[in-house]
Amino acid sequence: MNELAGVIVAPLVLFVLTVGWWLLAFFPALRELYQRSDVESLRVVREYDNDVHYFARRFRARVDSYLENTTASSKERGASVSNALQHRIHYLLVRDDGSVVLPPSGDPKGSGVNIVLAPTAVTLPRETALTIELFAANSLHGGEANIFRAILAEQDISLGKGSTVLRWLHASGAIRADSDCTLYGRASSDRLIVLANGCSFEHLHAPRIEFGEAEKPDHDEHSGLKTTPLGPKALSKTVEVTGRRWLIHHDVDIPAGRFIDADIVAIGSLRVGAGCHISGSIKGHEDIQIDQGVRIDGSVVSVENIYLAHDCHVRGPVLSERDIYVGPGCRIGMPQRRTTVNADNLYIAPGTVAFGTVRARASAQVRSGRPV
Amino acid sequence: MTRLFPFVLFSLLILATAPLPVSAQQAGPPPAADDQALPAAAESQRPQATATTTDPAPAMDATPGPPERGRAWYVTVMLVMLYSIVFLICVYMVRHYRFTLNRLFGEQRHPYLDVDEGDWPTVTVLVPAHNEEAVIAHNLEALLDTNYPHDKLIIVPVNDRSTDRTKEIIDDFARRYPDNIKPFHRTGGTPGKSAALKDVTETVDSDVILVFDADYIPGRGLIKQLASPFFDPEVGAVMGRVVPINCGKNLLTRLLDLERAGGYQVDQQARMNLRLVPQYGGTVGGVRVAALESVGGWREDALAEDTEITYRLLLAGWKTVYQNRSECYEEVPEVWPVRIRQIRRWAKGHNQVAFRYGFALLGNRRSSFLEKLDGLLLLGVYLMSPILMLGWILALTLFFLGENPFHSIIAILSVVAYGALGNFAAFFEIAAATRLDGTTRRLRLLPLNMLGFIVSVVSIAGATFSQVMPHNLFGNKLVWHKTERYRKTEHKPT
Repeated sequence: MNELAGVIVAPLVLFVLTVGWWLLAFFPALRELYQRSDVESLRVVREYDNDVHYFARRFRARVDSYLENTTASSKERGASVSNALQHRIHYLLVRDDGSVVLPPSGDPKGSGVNIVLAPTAVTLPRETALTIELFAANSLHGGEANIFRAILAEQDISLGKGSTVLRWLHASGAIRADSDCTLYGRASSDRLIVLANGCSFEHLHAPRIEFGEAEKPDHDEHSGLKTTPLGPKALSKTVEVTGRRWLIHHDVDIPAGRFIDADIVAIGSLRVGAGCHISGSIKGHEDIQIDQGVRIDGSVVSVENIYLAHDCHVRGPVLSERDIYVGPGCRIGMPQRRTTVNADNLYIAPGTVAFGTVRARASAQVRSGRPV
Repeated sequence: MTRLFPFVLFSLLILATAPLPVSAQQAGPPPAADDQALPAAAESQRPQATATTTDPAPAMDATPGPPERGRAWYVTVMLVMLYSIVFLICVYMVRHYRFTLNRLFGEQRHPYLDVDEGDWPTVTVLVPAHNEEAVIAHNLEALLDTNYPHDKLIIVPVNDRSTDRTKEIIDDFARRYPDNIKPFHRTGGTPGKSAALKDVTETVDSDVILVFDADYIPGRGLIKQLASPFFDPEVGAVMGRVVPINCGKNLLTRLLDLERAGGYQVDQQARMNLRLVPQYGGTVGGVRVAALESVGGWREDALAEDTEITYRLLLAGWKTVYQNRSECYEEVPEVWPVRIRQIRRWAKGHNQVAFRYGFALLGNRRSSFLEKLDGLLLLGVYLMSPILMLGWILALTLFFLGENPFHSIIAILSVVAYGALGNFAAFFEIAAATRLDGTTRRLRLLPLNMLGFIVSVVSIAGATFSQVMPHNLFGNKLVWHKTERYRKTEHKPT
């Protein structure tokens, strides 16, 4: 009897346990199949279009909705918090003298206030800290070491030395940041951004962006460049020419003062000698070094670092998967042809002008003295 | 170095379960009594082993065993084949794990995603359409609503012999947007998407061609996202991510949603991260016209023009870029017969590319070693289904022939068979993808993917076998393989 049990029962138990163990995984599967708790398609935001003004636009809409409910008289009087609360609008008012009408508790957040309004042009005293969004209906002049969460201004914004913006800022006019300011998130202007030496930022967007003192005139100083043409075989004996593209399977060193009418892809490092003019784009699998006074009409793309010496002009995007160092006096993009600079880290010397977007995935600094 | 740790660990595991070398076996304890059932190879070595070791059970050895005999040649061939298949499966398993771990812990590459502004290239968007009255209007409306500079954007609906209202709808849009919509009506020529693309490309005068299937609904920023990699002069093609829009319809669509997530969120992006061979998928993507021309344009006889162009560009030194955040909705098949037809078509196209370009890739000096390796493994993806089935047959046959020479290989085979049956490594990709997408509850359905896996293996194997039949090798007739649409027609001409 015991032998029979050993022959039949043991395998049967093993079989049942095995099947049971196997089926165990199917219980949650069948449950999900019938309960349908997660059946929505992955959300693809159709409206997402990388718009740098997104936060500013949303904030303006919010402010507009507040102001519709606020009487002009209360604004002129310098509305108190209690008056604002009567309209279910939680705001603080910045007076002409720059003083902020604080709630009795002295803590904006604690009083439920979620917006700061500056209906007229204001100048803030030093070390003012506004940890809620600020809307300036006119221009805003910050003092030294101010801290803002976010700013939207209908005219100019100027930030005092050592100020910090934590989320974003947008001005319909110009943005000027004194030295050692830190701009986290997006900073955009419809006209001009000027950052002094020592500023750091993440994402700038404006028709014109000046780093430090822009000394160069706007006209194209490279238009009279004297160069001599360079053919593909003179550059490399193993070059592969496909249409406009020259594909070179090693490091490339372009001699100074040459003109190349092509796109160049170097499976290695790439150096462009001083005063060269390349009418196409260049790509390097290693570092790209561009010497002084070079003009590139297309883009500059590198898997590694990009070094731009002084007085270079790149008209197309400058994209690096590592870091970009920009020397003084460089120009990137053109007023009528805006472009993008993008890298993990950016180091930009004073005197550089860019048109369009300058963006760092990690951090960007305006600083001089880095040897290129 | 820390990134290599999982692979080192995995290699050690494999080694730990690998068969011992003959010398090691000889030095070990003798086989047990019931090893009489051991196959010929083991038997032939047995006297030698017992002669060199101290036998703790001489009584057992005294039992007369079967007569010594050599292994039949066909058994040796089968064993070699089986071990080769096991090796291949292990390679794919390692590949899947490598990709998944890279997505979870590795450096992510999105080098072109943040390009906001630039002198954008001129773009022509091709929308191949064959009887697409249910979806074509949505597609054209969405394309017109994108934020790409309209003076640099041309939309070309390619109507290939539609017999429904597709032509009427397209012409209505062309009347309303004459500057941006330029229809291309085909009434003759070789049927098929490749041939249609070839014909229409001859009329294109843009820098870049993007292709969207008629059922796709692009977002506002999608054209810019897909055009931005072309600022890089080395990029020949770009691919975005497709997301099933009818995911919750039934079990099949939910399983396909999981499969797509694994394929794009993990597999394609990992290949982008690791600088391997991201694949142009024929839709939600595009090619640089100069690159396309440099490799001879679309091939009319290509069964999978997307895979075909990926490899021809790779051979010519152009890169294909994958943009994981360039997402676009698509419809996936809602019934199994449609799904089976779709995957059979993909398998045939993929295999065609494998036979055409596999050897050329091996000798291609423009590709790195890793690109060659990944390119070959990618080409072999659909060939693995018949190979896997052959492996199962071989394993069973050898078992019943009494061939079990190295007991530890069974351990490996068990692991691999489970990996193959449940496609464990690929399932790991899917699990990682749902985590990255933040949709983890749907992961509970994963065991049911075994069903989809088995259907795919059988379908692909069938397609591959039919492909090598003489009448298909020499008399292939190209037709429009259209995937059924499930959306309702809503467009009313104005």
